[in-house]
Amino acid sequence: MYPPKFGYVIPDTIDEAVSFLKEHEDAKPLAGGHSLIPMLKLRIIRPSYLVEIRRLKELQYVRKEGGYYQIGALTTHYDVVKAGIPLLSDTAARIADPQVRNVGTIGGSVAHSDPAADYQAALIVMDSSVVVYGPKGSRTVNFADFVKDVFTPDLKQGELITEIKVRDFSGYRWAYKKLERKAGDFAIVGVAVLAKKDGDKVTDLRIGLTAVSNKGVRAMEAEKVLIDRTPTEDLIERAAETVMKSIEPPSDLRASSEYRKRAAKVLTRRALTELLR
Amino acid sequence: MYVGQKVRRKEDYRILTGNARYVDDIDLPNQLFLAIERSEVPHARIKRIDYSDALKLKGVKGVIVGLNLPLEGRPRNFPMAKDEILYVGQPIAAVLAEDRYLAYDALDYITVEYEELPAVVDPEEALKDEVKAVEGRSNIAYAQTYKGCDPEEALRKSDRTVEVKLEISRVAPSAMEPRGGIVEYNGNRLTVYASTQSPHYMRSFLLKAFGDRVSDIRVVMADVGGAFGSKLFPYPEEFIAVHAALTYRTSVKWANTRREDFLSTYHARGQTHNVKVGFNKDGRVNAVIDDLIIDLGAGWHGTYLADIAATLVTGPYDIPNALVNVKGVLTNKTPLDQYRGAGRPEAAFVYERYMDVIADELKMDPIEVRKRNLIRNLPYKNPLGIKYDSGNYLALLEKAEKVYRDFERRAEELRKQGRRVGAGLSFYVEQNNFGPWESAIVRLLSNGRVQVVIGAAPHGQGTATGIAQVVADELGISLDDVDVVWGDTALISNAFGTYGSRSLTLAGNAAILAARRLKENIMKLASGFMRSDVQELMYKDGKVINPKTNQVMTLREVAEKATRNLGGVWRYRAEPLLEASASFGFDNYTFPYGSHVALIEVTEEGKVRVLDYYAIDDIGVVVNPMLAEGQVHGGTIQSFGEAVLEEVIYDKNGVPLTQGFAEYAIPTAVESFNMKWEYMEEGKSDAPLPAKGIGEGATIGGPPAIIRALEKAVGKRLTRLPVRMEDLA
Repeated sequence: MYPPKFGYVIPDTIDEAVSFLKEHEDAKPLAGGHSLIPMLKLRIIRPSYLVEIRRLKELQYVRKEGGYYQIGALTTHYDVVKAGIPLLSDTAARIADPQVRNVGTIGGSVAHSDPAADYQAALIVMDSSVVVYGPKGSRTVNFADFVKDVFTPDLKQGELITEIKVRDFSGYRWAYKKLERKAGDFAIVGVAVLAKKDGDKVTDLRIGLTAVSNKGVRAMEAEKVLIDRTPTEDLIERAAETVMKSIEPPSDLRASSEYRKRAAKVLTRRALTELLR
Repeated sequence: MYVGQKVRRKEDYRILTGNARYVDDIDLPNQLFLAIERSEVPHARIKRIDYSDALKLKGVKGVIVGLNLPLEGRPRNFPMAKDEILYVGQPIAAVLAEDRYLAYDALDYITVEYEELPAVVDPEEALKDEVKAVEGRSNIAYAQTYKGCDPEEALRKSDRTVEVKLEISRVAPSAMEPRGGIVEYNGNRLTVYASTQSPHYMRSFLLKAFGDRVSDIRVVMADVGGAFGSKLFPYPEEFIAVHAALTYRTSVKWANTRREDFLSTYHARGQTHNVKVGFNKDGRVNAVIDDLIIDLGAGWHGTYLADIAATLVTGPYDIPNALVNVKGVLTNKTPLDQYRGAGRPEAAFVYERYMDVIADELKMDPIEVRKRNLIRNLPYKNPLGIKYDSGNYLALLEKAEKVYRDFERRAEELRKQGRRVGAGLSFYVEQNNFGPWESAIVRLLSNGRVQVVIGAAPHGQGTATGIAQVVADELGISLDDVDVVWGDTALISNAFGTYGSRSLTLAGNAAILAARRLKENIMKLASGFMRSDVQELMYKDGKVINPKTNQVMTLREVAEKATRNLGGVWRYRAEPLLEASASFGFDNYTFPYGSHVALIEVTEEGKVRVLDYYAIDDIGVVVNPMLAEGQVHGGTIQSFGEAVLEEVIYDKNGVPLTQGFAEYAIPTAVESFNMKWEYMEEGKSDAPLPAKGIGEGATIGGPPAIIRALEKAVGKRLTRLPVRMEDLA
């Protein structure tokens, strides 16, 4: 676990970082490094340079504007926890362990696009978008489109994520349920739920899952089971069942596909019961 | 009396202040770093190794390939694969370079051409012996039969029989500090700084291999960041590093990365038991027949683990007929060896599982079934020839039963609330104090302090504190005046080390005997100093007293008088001998016993949470209840890991999937739980210090209690360690 030789660059500005990354094809931006450094040490990646963006203050912020939260890409998970953002803060609190949360960043996690990252479940239901900055300027991409596949973000050489935008779901109730083998482990399944009720009736419901596909998925069919209806135990069960049927999770050493499906059902039912009953 | 007191550890200051010195903290002038090229395939024939490009790198001093040395229980391709690769992680080449980054970079420039061979992964497939795992030899590297009385006939005559297949997966010992070492080159003498449980044994095996090239190898044990059995026996890297130092005439350091440690540190457990049990309607067990397969990996030095498990298959129960057919099979996996418990957890899992299975089959209370079979009279010779020594099994079981009944009642209440909760109890008998003997030296230093050198090699257990308590009591002096040192072949001539729950008992008894001899020497000296006949003197509370004259000399006074007057002459008849050595061994093992009781909840999705936990042990005299309890706590958390989290996983092609802590799950503080520990002191040995050892008990008693509680919580029979979450959902 010793990395191959690499150069280390500390740019003063985002523009400097972007232009350096553009010029050096194998260079990688270093944010919190909680995915990058292990890959480097295992020699899975062999970058020519690491471009340290970690300390760029202009990407460390959480702002609320026009019904949206704007989160600087270099905001740590711990700062996301502290920001009190509906659903997202509670999700960030379940990421790995305190060491990771204190150093790892939301932009880094989104750029890494790990299919089992906790954020994936929340961001997929929060009308989120990703602001990307590169040599040609800034562009904004829907989160759902940004993650193209396993470890495959919509980022070109020289581009950086500068901001994650999520809708403010104040007035909703929410929950993030995570099943893990032990504290600090990746999710076997994670289920994020946002729910809004008017009287007895569910007016909006959003269910997002992580670790069940190549990227975060939203269980729209299951949401429809409850939207505009009064939640009953039966309906919740049906919605949970629908979640289970809608996914084809992978099998790996943490869990079989079949078990992930069952667990997704249990976690969904638990979240819905907590929020709606 | 210090023995029996919860005395604080004497070892902690350096460790807690960050001043411990592990092997990788040690650097020597002119040292080169050794990095090892390891196999990425499980089984292959090597055609060619090209390392010419590696040698071209600036700072690379040499590359070693094809080193083969004969060592018992290892294949021909040891310590390196020369012509056949036998498992993923096996050393193929080694680079010596000026620093570790260069050394690891150079590994990228080594090309190994090989032809892949089919890998043997599943031990039951290996048993068919169709595809050979290791160098064309038979996969059945070991076969042994243990038989007592007439088990086949007793099984036939039983009212009922039951057959169950029990699987115990491979685990990785996972010490916090990966293995490593430094070889200091001094011409024909070497000093090896090692992360080891036995510096003396390491010296022996290195001298056996390199005795024709060196006159001596001194081994110094650095601080060891955990071992759990995994740092006792020799490893390829140690031979490669010594060979490198001798060949390149320079000091050499190597230090495993975590991934290397997962791939190369001997795995443990890895047993399958097909058990048939014959019993009567009243719950009495007549016979046990067990077909035991041990998955040895690419070596056959771990066979004794099957022997220990086999000969304890009847456990603490009076079962007159037993038969165990042991088969040790070779596979293309990391070799197997010991890990905390070493064979006894496997045995306990088997006998406690079949006790619970019988209870379920007969719809009887599991404690009642145990009571009907429990050994009542000790000593007791089990049908496979093992002689249990002392204790009162029933008294201990009855204490544990009280807790179990309470847990059962609480489980029942919680089940009424719709929760999935169960209680489980295990009872175990342990064989420990693996010998043959241990040594100690007790010295009176010139300032009056007492130094004890022990041959045991503790690495976290707190043994030095325990030994200091024992010696302070024997000499009647303050604990603060006793220092205990260990871990250097230059400190004490012949010794064994720390393994098999032996150190405090064997080294402690050796230290008592040495202290007694030291007292005799001191008395002789004092008789000269006090102008008294030695018969007139008595020793009490660290003082030599002449009751007739009321003359008194403290140990310090004796020491100072004997060691002053530099340049003078020695006028006394007695030899100025201020030290004494002794050794101690038992003619049988010791057999502590105990019980674990668990109250466990399982969520709907299969997540396990221990609600309450109790353990009780009888290890004879408990020297330091705080240290003993610490051993039980640590061991219990480790058993929780083994029962529900830890498993070395290979894919069907023989590639290990658990190569780091991201994949291999060990329990954290969050999974930890409250537990209560009690002890009895009935089962004493007849040694001067009648203690038996507690280092491993919890890893033996833990898993069967946890599995039983899980089984009761989810209502289905569980036969595998670990239980996967999905088996509980």
